Amino acid sequence: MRRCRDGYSLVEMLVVLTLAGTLLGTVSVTVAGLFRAERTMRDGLARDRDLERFSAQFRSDVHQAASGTLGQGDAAGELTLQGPDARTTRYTIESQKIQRVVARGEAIVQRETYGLAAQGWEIDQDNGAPIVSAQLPNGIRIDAVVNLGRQAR
Amino acid sequence: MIAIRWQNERGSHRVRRRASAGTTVVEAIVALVIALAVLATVGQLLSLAAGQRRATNQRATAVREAGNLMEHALARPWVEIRTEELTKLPLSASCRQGLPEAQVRWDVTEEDASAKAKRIRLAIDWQDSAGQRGDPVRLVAWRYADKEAQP
Repeated sequence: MRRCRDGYSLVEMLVVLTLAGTLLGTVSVTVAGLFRAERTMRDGLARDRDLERFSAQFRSDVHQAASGTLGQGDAAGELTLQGPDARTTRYTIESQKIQRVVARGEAIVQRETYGLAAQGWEIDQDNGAPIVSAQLPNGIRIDAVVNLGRQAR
Repeated sequence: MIAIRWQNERGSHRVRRRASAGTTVVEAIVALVIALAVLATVGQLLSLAAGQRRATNQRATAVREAGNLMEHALARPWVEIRTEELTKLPLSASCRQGLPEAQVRWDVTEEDASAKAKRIRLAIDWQDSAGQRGDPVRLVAWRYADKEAQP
């Protein structure tokens, strides 16, 4: 009579608790994975947008420039593009961002910031026209020819 | 109040217990199996999303590489802009790492126009996670001759 009134045996409870524990563990891992995936995707999209904006602007500036110079000493991490006309475009690396400043003579006419952590600049003139490279994290680099189309037409 | 009295009149603990019992072990196990099936589906969706993200990253890498290679091609002297010469341009380390079995195809053709020009076509393809070579990334540019090379 007493046995009939008993609810569950210890084994049954252990089975249920084990299954419930497994389920809770799986749920928490899945939810954490969802949040992580969402965060990674959001950061990735923001970085891709900045990278696309930067590469279009950088290539346009380098194509139009007559020459490019790399900063030395205190100005290390700086790229200066001369031209066209009296225009100077300066790219500087700051912590986790790149700043672009366009000036005509002494007057600053444009200033922009990109949320990218650049690692440096490079000017290469192995064969043909000089190529300026922006080196970004994860081995990403953006190359552009200085003064594109200068000889043509 | 009436219900309580009725239950007391029945006088059976067994009936009362069955009426107030929550779930049986079998019910709980069925519920858990269903929940696990739902979680497995969610896991598959997450894995699918990760695969799509990887494919998007690979295409973005190919687009960047195509842009960089084209810049190197355009920087070359006019006479060196030939298919055989451009084929020698190496792929970057990040491209070789990110795009398995990546292949670049160049095709340079002279344009029949008033100004001397060359059409440079570039295509990059690679192997995806299923081992298939998908749609290549294509880029076309025109390079006009240097002044001295113009007719």
